Amino acid sequence: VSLASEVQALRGSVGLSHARHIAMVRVDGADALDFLQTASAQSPYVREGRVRHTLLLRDDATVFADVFIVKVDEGFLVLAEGPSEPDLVLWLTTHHARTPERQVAFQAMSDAWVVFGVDGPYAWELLVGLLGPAVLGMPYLSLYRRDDVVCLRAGKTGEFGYLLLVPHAGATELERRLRELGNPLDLATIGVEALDVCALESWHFSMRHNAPVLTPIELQLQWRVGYTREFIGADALRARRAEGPKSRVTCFTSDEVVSAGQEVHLGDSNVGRVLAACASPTLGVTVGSALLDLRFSHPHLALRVGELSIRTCTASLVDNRSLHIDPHKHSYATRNQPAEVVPA
Amino acid sequence: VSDVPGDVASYLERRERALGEARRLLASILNYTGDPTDIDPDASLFGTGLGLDSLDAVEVLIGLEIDLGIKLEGDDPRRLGLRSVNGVVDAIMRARGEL
Repeated sequence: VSLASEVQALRGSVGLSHARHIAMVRVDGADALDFLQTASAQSPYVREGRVRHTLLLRDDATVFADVFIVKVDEGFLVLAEGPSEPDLVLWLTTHHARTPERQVAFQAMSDAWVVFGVDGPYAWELLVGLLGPAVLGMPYLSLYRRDDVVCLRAGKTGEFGYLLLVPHAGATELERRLRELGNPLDLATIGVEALDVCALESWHFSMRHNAPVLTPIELQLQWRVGYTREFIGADALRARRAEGPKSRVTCFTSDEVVSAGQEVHLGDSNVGRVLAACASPTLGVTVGSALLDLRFSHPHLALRVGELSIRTCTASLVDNRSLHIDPHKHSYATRNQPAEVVPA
Repeated sequence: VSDVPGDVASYLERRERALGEARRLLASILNYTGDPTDIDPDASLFGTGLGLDSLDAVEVLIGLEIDLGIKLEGDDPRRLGLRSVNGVVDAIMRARGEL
């Protein structure tokens, strides 16, 4: 199965992935909430059944991990992209060592639990078959539990997207059931590379697209930061904000093949560098992100990468099919019918 | 950078002005009391990002019309391309013939 066909499935039907790129650690203890308050860039406190999407920063405010924090039972789950699970545990343990009086315990979860990703404009239809109609009522960044399965609505492709957490003992049966239910939906097995292509097309942040030396200011992720709070990296981040940003990650497209690391020019002047670029099967062009000097980090500019032309763009680049689907009216089986004959 | 062509420099100046207007409008809708320049240009308006809901979306359209004199045909900001802060900036500049 080619990368293009995986992306096509993510944009047109539903893709199933083994989310081994996600590190999962459980944080328990009487001070678990207080600990996470000072660990994450945004307060981890959310209502029952909701999910916080935030960041873990290093002391210099560069991004260490892109995380979902979920309250489960008496503890919290931290699902992270960026670090490996041992590195995440080490980061948490190191932070805990600064305030050892806090009653907190960390448990790596990948030995006990498996994470599946289900993404695509008809991902909801697959999960209704698996978990029931309650899935339809899940807002973005929410949680639903049924039996041993924990379902998070938390996609990063611009389409409907879910993470399913299940104990190892039930993982094989869950996957069999997903494939059985997904067969009429043309379910495809997809990998993290396809997820990253879709993330870039839809301008969702991916730890794998950006150099690890950037802060939420350059990455345009300030909405995930509580500037008035105290957390790891907060002082450095506030200092950088006070200085004023020098550069910003900006979306671009090109008809040429552009590579990460190449310099970006306006006339003879270097105005930045390419952070990530890939062929977009959806758009038929190269899509990418570049770190540009702040003055030039705007859409609709014609720039050069070597002898190649690129054009900065307003994100997102894709008119996601999920935006045009109402799960209460539509289904994969009726996807090609004109809107007026789809039963209400 | 000293050799910015005049048309590019002029575009960037108009873009910054429209971005400032979009940020102030969205800060008002969000009741954001911090510095509006903290609102990133590529932040999504809905879902992840600024987290606007459908009522806020109507406020964006009303704000564009009342505060900036820009009336868009249609009632769904997502389908009008207003999915990010920069989408709002594009709409402002298009309405003024600047894009």
